[in-house]
Amino acid sequence: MRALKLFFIASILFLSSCTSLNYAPGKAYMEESQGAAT
Amino acid sequence: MRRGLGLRPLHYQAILDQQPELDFFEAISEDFMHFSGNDYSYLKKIAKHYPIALHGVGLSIGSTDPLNKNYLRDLKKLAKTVSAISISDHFCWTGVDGKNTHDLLPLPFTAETVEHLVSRIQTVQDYLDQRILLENVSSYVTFTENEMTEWEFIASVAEKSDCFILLDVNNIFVNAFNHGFNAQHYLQGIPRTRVKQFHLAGHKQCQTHIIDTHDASIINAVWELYREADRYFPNTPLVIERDSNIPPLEELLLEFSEL
Repeated sequence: MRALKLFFIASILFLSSCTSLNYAPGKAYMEESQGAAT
Repeated sequence: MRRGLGLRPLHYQAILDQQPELDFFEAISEDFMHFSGNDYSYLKKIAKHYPIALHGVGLSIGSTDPLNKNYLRDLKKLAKTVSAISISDHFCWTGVDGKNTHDLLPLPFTAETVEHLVSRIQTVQDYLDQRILLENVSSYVTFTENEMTEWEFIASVAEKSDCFILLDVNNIFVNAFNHGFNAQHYLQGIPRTRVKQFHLAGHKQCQTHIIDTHDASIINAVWELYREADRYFPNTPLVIERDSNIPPLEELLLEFSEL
């Protein structure tokens, strides 16, 4: 599990440097609910 | 075969005015989970005339973050409000460590990921009190850690978690080109009884790769692959998606004339 999480974090760092995330349906709801993850 | 269309704001009023001959609409769940505003108001009106399938992009079933209980609560409430005929999301992860990329990111196809997903899907299905559909996503990278093919991964997760599959035929076409596999092998590897819905959409051919843009008509080669898929999974409902360069409703409905 720890390896998988580290893998995901590394992927985000990579993807955030090379992709443009223009199309994001549901983005407003997800940003509001982001802090609600429990 | 039942025909559905992705519900988009541009078409709300036209749907109510024209009431086209469609069997259902597929709504993006998160666009209506505020339970207020113009979108929600239209959804409730449209739901009086058509069955609604809910299709989410925020479940992040593959993430290592805990499942978002508020999200699941709102999703369950929305499904009940519109008497949703199905609830779907994607075989993907969208964020980790509290960060949301708002994109559908591919998973490593490993035994560890299978077990991880199976546990989370079962939790979601228990909470929603119904089986969900998960969709194969388009992707542009693969992982050297992969221990199995994409179709073996999806089949394994679906069988072990007892979930259903939303098979996006365009995504199979895109990934077959991008990653160099045979789309026929993909179709052959998916369990017959698990596929409960198809997706079709347009894409952008960039010569060295294909991008899943949902901004154009469905090309003939994807229609041909769909016809093949329909032979493997007969009578499966089909939804056509368009998310950019969206034409008027009557023009988009002409896509179904290929059937």
